[in-house]
Amino acid sequence: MQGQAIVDGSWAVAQRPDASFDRGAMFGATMVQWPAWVLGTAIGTLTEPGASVVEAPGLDLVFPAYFALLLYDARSRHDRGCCRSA
Amino acid sequence: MTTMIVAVLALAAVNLLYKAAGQAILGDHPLPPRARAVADALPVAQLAALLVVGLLGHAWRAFDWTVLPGQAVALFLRTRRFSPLLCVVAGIACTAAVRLALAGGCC
Repeated sequence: MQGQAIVDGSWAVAQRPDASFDRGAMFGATMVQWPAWVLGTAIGTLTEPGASVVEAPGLDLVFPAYFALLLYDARSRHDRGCCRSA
Repeated sequence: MTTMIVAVLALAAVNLLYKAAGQAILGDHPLPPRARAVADALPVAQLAALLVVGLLGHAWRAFDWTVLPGQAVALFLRTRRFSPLLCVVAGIACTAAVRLALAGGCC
């Protein structure tokens, strides 16, 4: 059951500087994200917004920017010699 | 709608099994060193792949250059140790400004 809490953002939040993992932080981060994900999906399904709703305000940048930041942080941690798996 | 619901439920089931498999197989035992090295390398490779796919868009043919200024702003702010949320918001604002300027025909 604990593995169900592993999502990208929660995994990133759970990493400590000494390369260990804070499970409590991961669970807390997932509990905050889960209702937001469900609510956002429900709203998107019910309203069926067009592509312009996402593209005009630049919201299509969210995932590429987030991945780029995670990549930058992962490389920074690797360079500091503290990148380990859970 | 039914097809989508079935697909979502199937994806949820696969997700549940996938996330449970690691702990069910390994329990509290650590990964062997070689497996750990592979696992350590995976996030960077996956993030790079997701970034490329996200930028190139649908069928890798929908690249929109207006996201690049926003990406640059987000990454620059991260090098200055601003929070990821602030970096992403600033990047979005930059991209939105570029698109607004282009739509208004001022550039």
